[in-house]
Amino acid sequence: MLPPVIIADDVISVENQIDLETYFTTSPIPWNYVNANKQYEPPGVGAPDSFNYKQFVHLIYLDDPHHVNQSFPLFVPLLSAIPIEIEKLLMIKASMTVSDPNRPVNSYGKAHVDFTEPPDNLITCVYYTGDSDGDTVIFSKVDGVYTETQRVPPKRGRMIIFDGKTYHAGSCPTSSEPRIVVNFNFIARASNGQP
Amino acid sequence: MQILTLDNELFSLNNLPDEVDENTRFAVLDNSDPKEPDFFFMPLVFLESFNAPAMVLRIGNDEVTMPIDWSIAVGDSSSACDIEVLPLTSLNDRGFEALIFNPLSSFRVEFKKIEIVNFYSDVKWYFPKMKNGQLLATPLNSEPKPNCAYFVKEISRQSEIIQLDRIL
Repeated sequence: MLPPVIIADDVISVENQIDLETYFTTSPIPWNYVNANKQYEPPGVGAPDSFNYKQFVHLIYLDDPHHVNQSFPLFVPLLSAIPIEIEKLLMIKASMTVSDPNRPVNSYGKAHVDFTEPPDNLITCVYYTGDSDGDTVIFSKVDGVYTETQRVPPKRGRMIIFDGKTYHAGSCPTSSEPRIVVNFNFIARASNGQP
Repeated sequence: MQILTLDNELFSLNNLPDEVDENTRFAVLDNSDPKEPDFFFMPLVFLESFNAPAMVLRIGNDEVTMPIDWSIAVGDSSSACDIEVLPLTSLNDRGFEALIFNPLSSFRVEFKKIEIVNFYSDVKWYFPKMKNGQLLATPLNSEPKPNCAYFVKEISRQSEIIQLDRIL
């Protein structure tokens, strides 16, 4: 049985970490604006500290409808670093949240799961491309009540892995650095069990 | 994985028959001596097998599926530069073009755009045992006299540049 949330630092070489950070911060790549809170309706869950922040998304891989961005090879080292056997890759996307020094302390975006109906054995991974202060917040759901259980601060080279049915939320950074994460969703081989 | 035989046809190693003709040979570009690169047809004696993720590449109008940790011979159609052997994981939309050449029937080298079109997380592979510095000529389609691209699992630093003018 895997722990609820796996946190691993330096999952790829420093060279690969720099390549990814450079790709997202200096390359002319398309970022699509989304309103993070509206994006997750209806699965999004309002919580006392939820904060309406704006996000930009760059899609790298989508199983259905099929899409492969030509930057896909950059993410292969990350796929290889995931310690769970992948049965089917569903999505890789990058999300960028620009800083807002005025956001309330300890606030976070809307708690959500990445799929309206998460399939069995869905695993979600979040990789942080740089150092920032927008924590990822993990929630537990007991009797329909969502309770914050864990906060993971972004750090370059860090990856967190959890069950795709776990409610989670990003946070808006307050520092000058944007929060850029790469989000993987895949179906794990059944033999791996549930995290 | 697929090989080019002496009959100038694609032979798929993914669906091997119970018996393979002992005279079957497969084409390689041998760059073990970078001063004397040349094409050879090697006997198909040993096959290796492994599991690895795969990328589907569109090269020109053809698609070929290759292990993600292999390398491909690339060049540039706009200049007569040398051929470089590059990991597939380094392609990353950098405008490289695949070296295309059929050692039995091509009159000239071509270069075709490479595009990544899909990913498979786990594929069982069979490939022929090759010597260091040899690249596998991989037919891109099942037509007669197929175009071939060139792939290798591992290549030594000494032979990662192929001097085009020495082949032709």
